[in-house]
Amino acid sequence: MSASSGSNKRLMTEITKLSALAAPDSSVKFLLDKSPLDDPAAGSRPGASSGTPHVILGRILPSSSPYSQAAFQIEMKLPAEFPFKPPEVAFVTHIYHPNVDDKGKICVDLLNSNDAWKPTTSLVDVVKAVVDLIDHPKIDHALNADIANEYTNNRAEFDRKASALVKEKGLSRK
Amino acid sequence: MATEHEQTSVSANDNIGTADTSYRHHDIDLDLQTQQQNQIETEVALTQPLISEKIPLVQLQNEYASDDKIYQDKVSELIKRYKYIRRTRRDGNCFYRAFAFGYLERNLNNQNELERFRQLTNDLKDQLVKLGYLEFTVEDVRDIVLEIIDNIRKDGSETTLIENLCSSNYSDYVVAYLRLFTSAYLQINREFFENFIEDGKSVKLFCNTEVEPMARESDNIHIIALTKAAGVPLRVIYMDRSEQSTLTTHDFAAHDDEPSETFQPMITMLYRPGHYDLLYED
Repeated sequence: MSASSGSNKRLMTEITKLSALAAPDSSVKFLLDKSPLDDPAAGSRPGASSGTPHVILGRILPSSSPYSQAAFQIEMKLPAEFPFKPPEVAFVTHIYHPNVDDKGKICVDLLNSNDAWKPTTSLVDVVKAVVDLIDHPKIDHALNADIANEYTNNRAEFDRKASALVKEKGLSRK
Repeated sequence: MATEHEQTSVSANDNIGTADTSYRHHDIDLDLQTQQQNQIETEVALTQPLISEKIPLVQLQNEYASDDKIYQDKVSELIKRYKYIRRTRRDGNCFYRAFAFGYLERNLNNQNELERFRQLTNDLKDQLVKLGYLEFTVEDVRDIVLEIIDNIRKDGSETTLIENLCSSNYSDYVVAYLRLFTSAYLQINREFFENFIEDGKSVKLFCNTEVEPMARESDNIHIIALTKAAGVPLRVIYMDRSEQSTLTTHDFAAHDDEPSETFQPMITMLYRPGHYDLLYED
């Protein structure tokens, strides 16, 4: 069916664009670690027909302190209805941040299928939105009230804890 | 993940006494909401085809209580003018899907008209790129729509039409692209449309939230924009609970200077609050 080869073409282009983010002059820093195209057999079967969602893994490189010291791996799961439904995005690397919960879940407006997700939104847009959220925490949309409180009222303590976790769990930025 | 957390030296629970569980509820609420929505969608998908076969319009009488005079009178009115109805799935995309199906069905063997529409479909991509859209994702959607138009041009059969527009994989691409048609037209004519948008929202914001995302319902403004953008005259018959027994007819001209006396719709739809279906005279 051509619509699925259409979605494969879309997947391929998305992955190509994500790979290109590794370039030193790219607008947002991202290192692609794993994609469905890595396994040639899997790549030829569209996610919709095999029933398992396509998963993309990669590391974001935030520029704000203390996260600029390391890279953080995120997972993007593409549902069978992609691009008509948004990808599910979660942090694989543990990160101490007001907008990331203890399961690695984040709340990004762009991914909200009720409001903002459009079939023309790209995975690069998604990565940009995630990095933007990490670099500019949204306290009123915090997923963790305790951390949000701490960020607002005891910033030194927040920085200490965030830094410690970055040192302990953060990945290489190469 | 959970075990990792226990091993770390830091924990959100270090701050005792400041717990506020309302934020966790937000997290749970969103999950629940999404779950419920998915459930509803699955149910709808199982019980309603994207576009039904042609159903004799008299069957509409069964949808309303026999003593519901207002509606039964209106259905009788409708039956005088139209013979068949095709139902569309109630998924927020029904206007666009009905438009696509009705248009292509009407022009199955009209090569000139299909060529004109194919050209418009092709050109829209560049219009959108000029408006600042990402080229490769727009192309992704456009290419499937072009393929569908070409499939239909090739054999002009209703079977091909149904195959292409009644399987969600293909069909959703057409819906997505018609939304882009609508959006581009609104943005290009933003000075005019700004006046008709509620809450003083900008046209761009309106397009981002009410036009382009899938499942967003359609209003008059969407209809005006799409019929003009595609150059397709459309007639919508409104049937609601209002007291007057006559049905309201809205004609949407394909071009601004079209005289209303000579209006001939290419597609006719029935609008009942929240939903659009296709109507046929024969």
